[in-house]
Amino acid sequence: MPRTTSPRLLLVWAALVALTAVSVVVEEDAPLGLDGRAAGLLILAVALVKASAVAWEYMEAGAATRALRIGVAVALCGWLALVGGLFLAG
Amino acid sequence: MADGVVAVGSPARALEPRASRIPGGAGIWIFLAVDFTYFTAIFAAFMVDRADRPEAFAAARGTVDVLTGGLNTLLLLSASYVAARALRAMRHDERRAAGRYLLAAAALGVAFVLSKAREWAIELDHGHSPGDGGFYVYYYFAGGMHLLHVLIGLAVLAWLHRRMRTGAAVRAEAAEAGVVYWHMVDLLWILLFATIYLAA
Repeated sequence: MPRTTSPRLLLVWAALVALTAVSVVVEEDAPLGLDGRAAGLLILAVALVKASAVAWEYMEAGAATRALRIGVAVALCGWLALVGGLFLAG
Repeated sequence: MADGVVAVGSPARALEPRASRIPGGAGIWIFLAVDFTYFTAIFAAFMVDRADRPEAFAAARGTVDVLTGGLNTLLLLSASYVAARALRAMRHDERRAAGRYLLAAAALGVAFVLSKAREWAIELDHGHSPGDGGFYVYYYFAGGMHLLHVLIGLAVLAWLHRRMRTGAAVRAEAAEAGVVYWHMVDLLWILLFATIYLAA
């Protein structure tokens, strides 16, 4: 196996692809008896997981200084709180 | 050879991940924080506007092609994966492999640009322009700002690819910063896709 091959990177990519498919399916069909708002929050949760995976695995925030890790986590949680809060308010 | 420089035959140890450091240097992360704040302001304005006119936004959002948005997400996610592989190849001084991965990432980025152009052409053909106001202002403006980031990212990938192909030295932090920037392009699209295409 070439040294640059990383099963973990590939696994993250596959998980992100699956989560994207879930996002689109939930938005299109709202299965599992979800109403629109519940489906929207699920999509946001999926998006947060996707964004975290990109930041941690690809941008290597997980290997960065503690301050940077905290900053990235706060930014992602802030985005979820902002969009989720406004989504619920709307 | 100076530390932090990658060239043929060098062990490129400077690019090895270490604990408690800032990948790509502090500058790129400060830039990302500022850029992220800028996009957060756009998203916040969008959501506040949407809360004022939920029916109009929902109706307008129903006209955008979510499947194409999903396809664009897959293109950028794949481009990010290949870019991550490119950085690993650069760390191991495998310049030919790095060059191939960078080229693949750029090709996926170009596919995103073409897909986005097609999506906008269809929307405009249906009479939905930024001049319609409301949802479409955000749809085109946020998408346009993101597209600008993609084009800058493509230029960075092309520069890195050229350095890999010609055997020229690349500072470790420059290579990391370029790839981290490309990942930010992906990250911003994920947030944009969720906020404007899905949650509206």
